[in-house]
Amino acid sequence: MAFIDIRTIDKFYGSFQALSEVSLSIPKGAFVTLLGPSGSGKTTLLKILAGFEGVSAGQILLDGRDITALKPEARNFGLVFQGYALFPHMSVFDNIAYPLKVRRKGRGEIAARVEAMLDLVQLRPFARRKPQELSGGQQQRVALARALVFQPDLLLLDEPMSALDKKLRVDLQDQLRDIHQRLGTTFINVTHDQEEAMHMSDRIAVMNLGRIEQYDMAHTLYRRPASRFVADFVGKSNIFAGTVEGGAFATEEFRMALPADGARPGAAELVIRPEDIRLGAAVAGDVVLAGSVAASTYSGDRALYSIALPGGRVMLTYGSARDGALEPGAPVQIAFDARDGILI
Amino acid sequence: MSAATRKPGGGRLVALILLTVPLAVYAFLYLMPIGSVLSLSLDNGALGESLSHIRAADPADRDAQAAALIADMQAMEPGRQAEVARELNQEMSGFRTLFLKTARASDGIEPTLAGLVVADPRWGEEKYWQVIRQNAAPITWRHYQRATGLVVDDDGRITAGGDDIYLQIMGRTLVIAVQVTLVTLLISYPLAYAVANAPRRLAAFVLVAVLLSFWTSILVRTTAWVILLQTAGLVNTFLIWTGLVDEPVQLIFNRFGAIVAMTHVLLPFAIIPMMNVMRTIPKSQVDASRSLGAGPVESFLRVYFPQTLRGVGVGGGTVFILALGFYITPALTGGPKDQMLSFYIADFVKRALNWGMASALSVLLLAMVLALVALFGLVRWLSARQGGRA
Amino acid sequence: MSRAIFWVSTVLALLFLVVPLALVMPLAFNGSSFLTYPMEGFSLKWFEEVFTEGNWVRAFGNSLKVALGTTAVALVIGGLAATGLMLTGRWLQIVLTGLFVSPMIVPSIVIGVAFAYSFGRMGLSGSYAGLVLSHSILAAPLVFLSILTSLRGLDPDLDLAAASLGASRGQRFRHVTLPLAAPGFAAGALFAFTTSFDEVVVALFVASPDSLTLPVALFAGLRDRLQPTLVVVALLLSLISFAFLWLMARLQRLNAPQKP
Repeated sequence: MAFIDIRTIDKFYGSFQALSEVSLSIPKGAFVTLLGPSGSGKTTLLKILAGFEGVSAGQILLDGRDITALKPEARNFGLVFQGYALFPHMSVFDNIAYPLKVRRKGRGEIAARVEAMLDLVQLRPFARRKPQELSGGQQQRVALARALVFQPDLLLLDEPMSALDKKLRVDLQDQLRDIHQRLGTTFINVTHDQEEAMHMSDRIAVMNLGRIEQYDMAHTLYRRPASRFVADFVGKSNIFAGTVEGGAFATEEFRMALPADGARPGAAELVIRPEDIRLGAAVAGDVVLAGSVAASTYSGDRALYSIALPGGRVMLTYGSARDGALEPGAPVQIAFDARDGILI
Repeated sequence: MSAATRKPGGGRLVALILLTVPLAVYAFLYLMPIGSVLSLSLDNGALGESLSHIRAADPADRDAQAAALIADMQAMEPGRQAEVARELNQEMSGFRTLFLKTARASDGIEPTLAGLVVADPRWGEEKYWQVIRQNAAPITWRHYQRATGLVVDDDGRITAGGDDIYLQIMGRTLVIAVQVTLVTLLISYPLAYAVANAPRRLAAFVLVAVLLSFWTSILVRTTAWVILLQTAGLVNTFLIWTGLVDEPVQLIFNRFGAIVAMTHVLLPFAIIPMMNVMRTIPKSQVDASRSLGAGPVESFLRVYFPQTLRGVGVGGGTVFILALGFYITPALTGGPKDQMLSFYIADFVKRALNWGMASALSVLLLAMVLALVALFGLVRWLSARQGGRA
Repeated sequence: MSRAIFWVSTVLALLFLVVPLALVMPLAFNGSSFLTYPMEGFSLKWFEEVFTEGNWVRAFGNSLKVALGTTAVALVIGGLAATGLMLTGRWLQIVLTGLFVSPMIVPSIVIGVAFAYSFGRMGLSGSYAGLVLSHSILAAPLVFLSILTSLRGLDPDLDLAAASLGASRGQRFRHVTLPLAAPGFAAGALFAFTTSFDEVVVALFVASPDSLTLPVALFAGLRDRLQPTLVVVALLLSLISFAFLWLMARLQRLNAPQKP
């Protein structure tokens, strides 16, 4: 049974609909990420879960109990804010101790639990410092410790990495996943960074325009996107518009066998991931296309090429870059296996 | 529907509970007193309460009016008679003796017009009856008529035939406020500029001087000017010592003294908003203008100055509004011809005990200030809209 | 050329701003009763006169009492108004701000007339309570504005964070909002105290000879006869103002490192 059950939530601001019929069920101990561009409704959903916003319709169940109307302070959910929202007039210790103090815990218990949290986030030497004397990454860990110290039923993370630089972000993603595994608390993370989402979460809910487009494991999301939006937003992709007829898919450039059975005849879109495209070498049965290099982005370990086809379409693909990238204008041949295509 | 939205920090009930005390205090100790000034300015005082028979009598029937007047007089205590006589006298001099004489004898007068004329022939003159009829109502415009010099003639039309002394005072108040505002702006501008652009130490020194001045009470700063400008004061001693003049010059209790002291007192109110605006203008802008070939004066006039106008407007507006209602500084440094509206308001309360006139002038002063605030608001709104479009 | 204009105008304006007070204040120590230079020796006799004369001492005591009372009342009114306002909707905030701030634009002479009349009818005229209440109306807008400014400057996420950590509304106000907005409350208190301590016009209308405040006594003295004791009183009043300015500056410095 689902631990958190979000049932057909609508949210209006005046006449603007921020969420429409959002449903999501989250098992206990899961690490779920709400992924979407800004304005997709992911932050609104987080605020509703935290209790900062009410719903216009629908309900939220926690362990079968309706918590839709519960005040934020009565929910027992931890929340890590985007800007961390650490109390500037309290030390690191006092910040972490705060939720225990308002729960009227004894002094000894508070000290023990705060110190355990400080160890967990490796900030013990900084207990007496004020938050503004810490680095961004340290502040984020204080916020995490503060949100976890009272053993919340659920931890909500609102773009917790967005203020950090990239290197630090990856480190903290590992730490966060580690902490999640150690504590077993249910985590819901909000981000617009698909790498972060894939790196940390068990399941990802991709949101767009107030709806959940797809809710799946990272692998499924990538290999079996349910919509053009998901295909486009998660990872890089080449998308062809065409038609399905007579057991084949046809576009202006090529015609190929259907990648899977059961496609309905009519207009459809085909997604080919750049890594499924072979540059230069073709295997028997491949769809083969000729084009020329339009642009290349060299990134050390490999190069990302934009290949212009004669019709004007540009396709993305990766190539080995051990001997340097191909020059723009160079004629190339690209090929892919029809079975790697994803029909939407 | 969005009825379910709920701010966690919100809670209309808590807001209501918190706001109850300040709202009650404001209502009872601020809005009601101000409102009482408004009603006092229209209140007819003893006249409105005591001339009830006159009010009810047929204005065309002279005998009925005479009977009503006598009935009203008989109904008054002697103290009230004196009060009514005094208020009537404010409308027409000589009325006091006429009214009191008639009132004292009222028991023996036949209640007709002829009877009254026998008691005093002046009752035969229509002008006295006119004053009585016009002032018998519980609400009166006479304070405003006196304040503005507008009079209601026999046909009930409003004409500008009255004494316009208070209109002149209002004009003088506006003129002094304009003079003070202009001088203040002229002196404030370089100081505000210095705080924003001078070398650090000078800027800091000017800022400290401005803040000290701002925090020193208006009365203390006025005191300094009274002492400096008096006939045997420092300025005159200095002028005579330098040989510029042979005998003391009158520097105080005239327009010069009033404007100098008011300007000094109001300076910080102009400097602070100007300084805040100037601080937001990047220095690189003038440098850019210079690098594009404009001279220093042209750069200042075309690039810097226009951007400071917002601060000049706020500072000038604040000074103007404060100057309009100024009391203590002009009262201590101005002469009889430099007193502003507020002086006469105080005078009516303190000396003449004429609350009606004090209130009417207060209402007019408040109306001027509110009209100006509304005007500034409109200008700001318009310029903000224009700025948004550009 | 343009530099010359700048320097000349700045120096002249600065002299105008500073010199009057700088010239007059030393006269408090003048040996003679003439209020001019050259001074005839250094003397504290005028200070002695002020400190021993019952009227000045009583006026000072009245001022102190009224200013302290005003500070307390204005803090309550302004504080409740500002904290309550933060919980209301946008339009109500605009209307209420206008109301709470409006005593600042009403000329004090008008407020004086209004209080003189109303307090007369309520039987408060000349009383300590009347002075405190009327000064509180003048000071409340300043307290309201300084508290509102510091409340608006708070990160709204801090309140949400405290809520998510389980703190009730009352706990959030006590533990988070109040300590962080404390500089605003302190600044408001300083404003209220100086507003009352320096106020002349309304006190002229409301005070009785028994409840005369120091500025009213100084005003009456100036209209009556110029004497060095008036300079002494003016000097003492400015010293108190300077002390408050210094406190205010300390407060701002104290507050500065709190904002990252």
